[in-house]
Amino acid sequence: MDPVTTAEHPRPALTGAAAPFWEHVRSGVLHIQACGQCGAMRHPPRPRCARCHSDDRRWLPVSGRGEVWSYTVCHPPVLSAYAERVPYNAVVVRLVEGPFLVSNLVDVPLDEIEVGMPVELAVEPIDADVSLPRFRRVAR
Amino acid sequence: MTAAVLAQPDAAIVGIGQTRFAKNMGRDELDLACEAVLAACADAGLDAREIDGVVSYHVEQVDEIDLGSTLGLDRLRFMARTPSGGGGAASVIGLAAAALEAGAADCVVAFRARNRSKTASYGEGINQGGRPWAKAGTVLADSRQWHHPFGVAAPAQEMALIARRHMAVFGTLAEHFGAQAVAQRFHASRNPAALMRTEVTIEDWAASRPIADPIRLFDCSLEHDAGVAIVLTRRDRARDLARRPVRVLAHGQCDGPIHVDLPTFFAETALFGERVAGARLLAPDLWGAAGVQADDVDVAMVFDHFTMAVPLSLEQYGFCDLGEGGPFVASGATRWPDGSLPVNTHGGSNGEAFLHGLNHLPEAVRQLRGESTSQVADAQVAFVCGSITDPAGAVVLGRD
Repeated sequence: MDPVTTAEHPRPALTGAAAPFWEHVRSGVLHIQACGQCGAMRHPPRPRCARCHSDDRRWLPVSGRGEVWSYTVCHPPVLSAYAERVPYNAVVVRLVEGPFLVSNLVDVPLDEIEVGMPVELAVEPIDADVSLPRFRRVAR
Repeated sequence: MTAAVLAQPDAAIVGIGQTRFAKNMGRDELDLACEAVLAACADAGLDAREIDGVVSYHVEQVDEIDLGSTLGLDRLRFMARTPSGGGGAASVIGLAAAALEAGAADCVVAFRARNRSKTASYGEGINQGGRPWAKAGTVLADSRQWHHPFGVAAPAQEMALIARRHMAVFGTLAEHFGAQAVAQRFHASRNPAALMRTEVTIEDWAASRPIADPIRLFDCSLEHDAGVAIVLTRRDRARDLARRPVRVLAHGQCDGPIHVDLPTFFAETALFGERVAGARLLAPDLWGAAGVQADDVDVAMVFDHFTMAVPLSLEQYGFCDLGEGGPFVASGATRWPDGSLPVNTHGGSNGEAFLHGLNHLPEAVRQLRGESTSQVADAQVAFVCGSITDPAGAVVLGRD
């Protein structure tokens, strides 16, 4: 997708527990929050580990590789920032490490998107402060 | 793991009431709620001032105190809300029944009022007028930061991602959802209260514009103004009132891992067979508590924010096998009068009205009273559930 710079593009506030996620994406390497005790990864970030209940947490770099777990093609009505892009794709990517991300595919024709398609991270800036973790198709 | 279920509570539905369903009525939610509550009380033959309990969804815009002071309910002693919008479509009945069973109230009203026409705007609240997701703003500190930046905000887009996964895992077709859309529009064509009175064909469905693939316009719920209310009391009292009581046989609610909220939905979840949804955890205990099985149900009302929710919910509650929901619907099983399990005989959310499923409860009551416009012959047991997503909730109703 083309980067957009309009002020109304929905964007993270870059505050609180989520801020490190977005800072890492902007630096080009996807990180996922993990438990500092048992190592279980979780996304979105949470104050506790759902497995061991520890509040110890850290950010782990992940491969950025995964597969399309589900997808849709969005038509109107959509968010105003996306109005000129319809129809556009939205996907759920399951990372090889396990966590799921809602995202978009870049450079894939709509009729070629399939569940199970292997993908890798394609970081796209929307402005100077925020980059989005999108994905591109890779060979099987 | 088992789910706790409210079994055979001392509770019966004694009255149902609703406003006209229409766009742009020019009335606020409190006004609509009052009309629906008074209509339900009149149906029951009760003075509204006997109401001492009020239950609703957490998305409800009408404050209990405002409702109470407007109608002169000056001895309210039980007020509660259930989470997750339409996931609570059946669970307001669970709340009311639990209060009656525990003696916390004697006469409880469940209600929902909406003013959601696209041009209506009686307030800036996110659940009040227009599209709530379009009012989220653009700088997001909450969970919406995980999907709005990618253009995923509307419920249709979220549910499309769930539907597409089901299609990939089980071979379900978009036309299966279309079959339910067509069946419900047929039911609506027979219901004078329904907003959509024109019957449609599967070709019409296929020609309706795509919203979020595989969801088309005719799969979507309606946006308009309306109020609906249901009054419950204990069974001994119910027998002295105006209408044939409808007994609450069982209610269950379970917050499994399949949340409607997209970030949490996908956080820990791989849906359908890979993790177990709350509805599926709940179902065995629900049927056990009700003393009937899915096979005994004569008619079902399934909250259908989008028609895909019908086959997916029927699977979770055991009306058909996992993955068989699509073919089940496409076979005509959910279409009145010949289907083995007519579903949403009032026309559902794409045909009659959209109140996050609360209009489905009065239709279940009409079926058990023998008063539906698409009446299932001698209906004895009705099933009503919230959405496919968690927290899931369902109620089994029977003639008393």
